[in-house]
Amino acid sequence: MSTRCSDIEHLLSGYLDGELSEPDRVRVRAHLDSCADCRAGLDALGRAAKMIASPVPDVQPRRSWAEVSGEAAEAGRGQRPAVKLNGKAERRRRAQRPVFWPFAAAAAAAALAVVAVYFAGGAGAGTAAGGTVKWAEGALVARASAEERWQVYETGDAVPAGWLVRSRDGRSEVSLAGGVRLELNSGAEVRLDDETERARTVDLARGELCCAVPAGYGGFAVRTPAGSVKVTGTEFDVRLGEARRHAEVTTFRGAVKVSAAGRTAKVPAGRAVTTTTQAGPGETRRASVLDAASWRRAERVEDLARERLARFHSIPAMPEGERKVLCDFSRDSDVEAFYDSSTPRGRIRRTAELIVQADTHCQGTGAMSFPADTCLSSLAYANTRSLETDWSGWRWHRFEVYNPTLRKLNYQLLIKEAGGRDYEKRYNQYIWLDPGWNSVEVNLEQVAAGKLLREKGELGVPFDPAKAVHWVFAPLYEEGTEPPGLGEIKLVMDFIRLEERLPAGR
Amino acid sequence: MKASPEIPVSTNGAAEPAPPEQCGDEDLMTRVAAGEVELYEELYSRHFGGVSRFAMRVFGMSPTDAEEATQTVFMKIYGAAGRYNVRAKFTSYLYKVARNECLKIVVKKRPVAAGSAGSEETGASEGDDSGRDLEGRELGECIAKVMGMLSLEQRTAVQLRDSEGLSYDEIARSMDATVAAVNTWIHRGRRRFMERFRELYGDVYPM
Repeated sequence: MSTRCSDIEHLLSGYLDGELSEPDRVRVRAHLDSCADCRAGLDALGRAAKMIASPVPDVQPRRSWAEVSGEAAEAGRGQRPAVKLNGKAERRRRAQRPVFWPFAAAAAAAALAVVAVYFAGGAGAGTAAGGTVKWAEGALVARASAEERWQVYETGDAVPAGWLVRSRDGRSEVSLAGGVRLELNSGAEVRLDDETERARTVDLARGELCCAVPAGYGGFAVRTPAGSVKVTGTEFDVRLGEARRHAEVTTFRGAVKVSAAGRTAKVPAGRAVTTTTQAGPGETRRASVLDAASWRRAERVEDLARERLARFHSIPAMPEGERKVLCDFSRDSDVEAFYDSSTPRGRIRRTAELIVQADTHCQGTGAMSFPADTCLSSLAYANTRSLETDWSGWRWHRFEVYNPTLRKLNYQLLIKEAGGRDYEKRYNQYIWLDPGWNSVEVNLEQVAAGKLLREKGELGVPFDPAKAVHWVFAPLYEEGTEPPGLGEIKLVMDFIRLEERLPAGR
Repeated sequence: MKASPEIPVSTNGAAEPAPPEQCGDEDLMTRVAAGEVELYEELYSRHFGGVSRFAMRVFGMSPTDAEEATQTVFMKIYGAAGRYNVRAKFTSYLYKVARNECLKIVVKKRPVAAGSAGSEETGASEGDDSGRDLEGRELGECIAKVMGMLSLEQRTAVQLRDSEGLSYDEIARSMDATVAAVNTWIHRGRRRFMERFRELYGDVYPM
């Protein structure tokens, strides 16, 4: 009796690696003797393995362990050694053991900052030295008071303390004594103010400012009508709202403490907070560092999204208005995204390779809470066809999405189960995406248990994660809200994966 | 009866431990945990390449990032040396830590890396630029690219098997999975690798 190819195909790698049990090995061996196709398959697997094994250049350690650990030890003076020694060995080895502390702690120690937020009315004229103009894309203008005319300052000029400085028609940079750098976004207005008790103050009257304060600097504060930020050695961005009633503080380096209206928020690197005149700082959130810093690189948020999209290979010759992008959305799985910006409002065209027909799907979306005529004017679908299809044993489905628009977007994550009805709404998740990067986490256990149901009375059939096929990501606009303009939506998805638990430190 | 059963290789009666180069990973790690911390150097140089390759191929890190990640991994293991469990193969343990650390790093770095680290990556590779090397690097890039098309599990399993030579059992232990799952990942990973490689680069690098 001969075995069929399909019976032994999955054993070929194990055979190649000598990892099969004896009966399996014999069975595969016998089949290979009689089947040229499987022999070719085995050869190909062997070649793939060999290729994967081919060396990556440049992987020798450039420094010895003693150097690496010694350096860390220097960074973390006073930390107790991480290896616990005992008894005789300890006494014997104490003199020669390297002392260090973990990297994370070393990095965290690099900068410590305090932010005090208090409300600034007018600022007293200072006696401290002003700043020096480093560069200006447009013109850096300054004046002593509102009654006077603006005067243009060239690169290298010194601006007197107490003057109001404005970055006109472009960005500019001003450096202050002690190595503080102020980068002004176009239209920003600051007053280089007084220096009291080693604390340097800058008033931000309008616009956006990024400050880099060297470590060890005595004290530095940015005041805005919505509060102020005081630091000692960090890098952060302050954006004052148009109405000058709120400010966004984003920390790039170090950590700052923001307090206003009796509230305090600590903002470590990579996080941001909004503070308002009345309520003080709110909860900190993960910063869209990309957004906050993008103006300094003269990038618009949209350009960033485009740059990410450029990683995809566009497939030419698609029907008019339809573009299919095959991409490296993530390194973990490839994703196909369907992008259709030409669909007239209220009518959904069927996109080329959607597993579910978009038209029938959306016709039936009364149940998904948007009637056909308020439907999508712009449609972006993405699905992860090659993500593992068996989700059992996984607890989280996590991915990051970039929303390049300046508004919140409401999306629906449609989860499909093999053999079930297409896109059964009870498994679907609603997500709001803030501008910038969003980290979306779906608790698969809750999905499986049907706990996130939106529809009342729909509790019922539990989702079978072993049969999950993929998910589709679709924008939703609630009735009465303005849908984004044609082509405005660009989704950049990244780092899609299933995981067992939340990564530490979140 | 004064025979000392602890010392596996008896030399000539004296309990002189073998030189580090001849010791197994587990022996070395046990001795490090007992206080002979200088032996860690041997483990470090022995496995630095493997962990760096792992970080590059499985997590798509640049050489610079991979080096940093590798150092972090070794820090971590050194710091927890006291808890090292001799029953586990050192490599299983090593790559388990490596996997967790790399995941952490990748998660943490993601949003920033997207915008600002782009230039760093391209500038990072230095060294000889002879024609042959360039060709080799291109192939390396193709391999990295195709590896990126496998799932994380497939990449991990395939890399540990084919590049680092771990057994299925060791891989299973390092990934907290069953041997059967590892078998599947490796098989599908290689098959997919082959298919995608042929599809994308078959005309340049026939296989």
